[in-house]
Amino acid sequence: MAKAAYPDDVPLFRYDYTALSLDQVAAALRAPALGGPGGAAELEQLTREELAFVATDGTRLTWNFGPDRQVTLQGEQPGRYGALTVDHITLIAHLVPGTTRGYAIAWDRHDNRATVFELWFGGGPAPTNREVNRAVWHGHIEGGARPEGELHMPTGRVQGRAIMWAEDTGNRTVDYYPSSAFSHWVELDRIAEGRGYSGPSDYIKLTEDLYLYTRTEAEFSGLWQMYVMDANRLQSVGLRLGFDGLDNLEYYMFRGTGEWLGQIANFMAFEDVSGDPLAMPDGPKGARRVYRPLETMDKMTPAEVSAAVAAETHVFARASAMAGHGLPPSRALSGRNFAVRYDGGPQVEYRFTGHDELQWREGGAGGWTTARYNAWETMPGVFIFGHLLAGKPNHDGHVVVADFDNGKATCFRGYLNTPYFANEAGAETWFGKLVGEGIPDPGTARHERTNDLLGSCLTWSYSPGLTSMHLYSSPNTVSWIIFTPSGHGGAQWSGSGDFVKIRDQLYFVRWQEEACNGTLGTILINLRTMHDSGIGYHCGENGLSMSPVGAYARLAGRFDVEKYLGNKRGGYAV
Amino acid sequence: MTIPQTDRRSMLKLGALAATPLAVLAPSAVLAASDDDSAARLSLLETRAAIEELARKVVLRFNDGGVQACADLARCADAFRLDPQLSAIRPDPAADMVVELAADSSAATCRLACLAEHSLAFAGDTTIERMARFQGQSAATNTTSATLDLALERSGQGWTVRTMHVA
Repeated sequence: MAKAAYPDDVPLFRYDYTALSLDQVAAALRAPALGGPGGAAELEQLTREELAFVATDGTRLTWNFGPDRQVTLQGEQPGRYGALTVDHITLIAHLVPGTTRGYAIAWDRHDNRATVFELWFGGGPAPTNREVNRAVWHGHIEGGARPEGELHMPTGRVQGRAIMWAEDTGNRTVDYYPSSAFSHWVELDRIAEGRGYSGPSDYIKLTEDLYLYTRTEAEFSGLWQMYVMDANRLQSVGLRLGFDGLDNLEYYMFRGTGEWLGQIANFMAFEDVSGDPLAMPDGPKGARRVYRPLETMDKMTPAEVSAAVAAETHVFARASAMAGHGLPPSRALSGRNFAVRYDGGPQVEYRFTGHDELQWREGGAGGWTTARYNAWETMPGVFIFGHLLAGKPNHDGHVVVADFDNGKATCFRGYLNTPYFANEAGAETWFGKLVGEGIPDPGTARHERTNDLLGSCLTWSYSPGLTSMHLYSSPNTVSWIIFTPSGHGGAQWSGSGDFVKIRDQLYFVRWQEEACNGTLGTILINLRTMHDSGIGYHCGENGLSMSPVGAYARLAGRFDVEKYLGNKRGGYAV
Repeated sequence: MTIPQTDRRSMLKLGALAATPLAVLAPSAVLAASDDDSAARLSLLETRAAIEELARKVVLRFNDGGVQACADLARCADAFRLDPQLSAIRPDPAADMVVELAADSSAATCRLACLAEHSLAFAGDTTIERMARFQGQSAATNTTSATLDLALERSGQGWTVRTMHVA
């Protein structure tokens, strides 16, 4: 793994970010606190000498401004600020010299409403010193017209949008806002691969047109990105603060220009525009729900995996909450014999000896191995079935889509003993054809990878109360959003994905929950019936399992991201 | 034999009840043992009241503490044949409780329309359940229309639950 500001050879969740000490952070902040933020845009000089902010909870903060962008916060050591204005909102940012904290102020020049972020490194609640903490206050600036009506507030109004932002730095990102507590972004320039990542976010309504967005790249670099966006004019001003992969401080302000990429459906009550659905109002300063999946994931060695698999293997042996709304398994394969010949891979022969039992062997010779399977006929003539391959050193599981009308077959091969955590599922996609009596020979024709689903959002209702939404955010990324009881988008995460077109409106999709529970999810999506059938392949301390997946679907909408992401197939080995 | 109700709705029907031939309302054993029609009718109403009281008690206890809280109301431990995810029974206030008495008055059934609340605990290892727990959601509740069915038998001076179903 090469050290890089933005890694080119591994996904961010694999990059070995330095555990910076607070002294290292303080040293890095020292000069920038005195000099102020950088940036390509010409920073503004405030004409006002004092800004006194009063928050709804009574918190008072007073800044004094001097020439040459000098700023002093309540008697602390003076430093320099930056300021940029979009429409009538001025964003002011500074670090406090001699400390590891700073502030960002969004000040409405029309009516003196204001939102203040305190930003700090170290001391929690973030678990590392390099991850930026934030606390938020809404209130007003004293000295002018006191605002009437509502102050700035968290909002659900941004949920469901996506915008491509081009900063004046030259960096572009596709920012998806499918949740009111998290967001998802794809770097178009800093990182070549085109993989999407997810992180906790704030969405604050300033006016009908103007919204404030933040994200913390928690679990990765810990960088903080915020901007005030004018939703109508698609202009923004923002601040970036934190440490890149080479531990260089990024502390700059920017102007951005956006391109609207679409709006998907929301599932809150129609009158519900509330925000911050995962709030922790009684938590300590800066507390919020930050999903840190690596903390709760089982992390096992190959020896532990072998022991767990030997002790407990469950193949379609128990009900799954992921299949409460699933289709019943099909018995139609029982009695059939055929082989799947994979291009550049093995030939796997099958004898389906029962409605849930098959025999398989590889290479056309040797003994047959009996395995339990489940199958579903998701579209007439197209089956998805899966089974474990006992005896394989990496505990392989095959999930196969077989189209008996045209002889094509595709397999998502799941396996264990992967490099980072042995119980984390790896996956490959194999294309091939079916060989057997009465099955047409497709020749060289195969199922093919597709961008048909790129930018699409599908909700999946697996069981009562268990509903998520998939966002197919890039050609190699599946992101999933968990709804709150109010129907807001809540926690969000993402992993490697692959997308194969089986027939028109029938797609074979997989995702890997890397550094996050380790599951390989596979589904065959039928957009005509808005239902799926699939199989989850998972190993943890409770053993290895293959279990059904089945859910009702709704199409939430589709973002138009093809021109930015269509050619970003990428796909590092992960 | 269906026993008339004693709740407010049924009281409105008492006039009609009074006009109903007793042979339809009461088993012959009851009638035979009665000195007159009024005594038989009173006995039936008292029986119904006792059964209704037991049904109410079963529902209240179940909603408060599950089947364990109902144990002393049943003949044996396996009387409660319920979905383990059933978390509450909400009687339909607009529905009539239907009580039927066996010919020899030794047993009865009680049926009541209700809403059944099933609670699905997010206790599994799937990522969606983990993320639901992360969000502070420990379970989901699903409410469906159902019928509470109680099979009862006489126990000394009172009644006890022989079986209980909600489906």
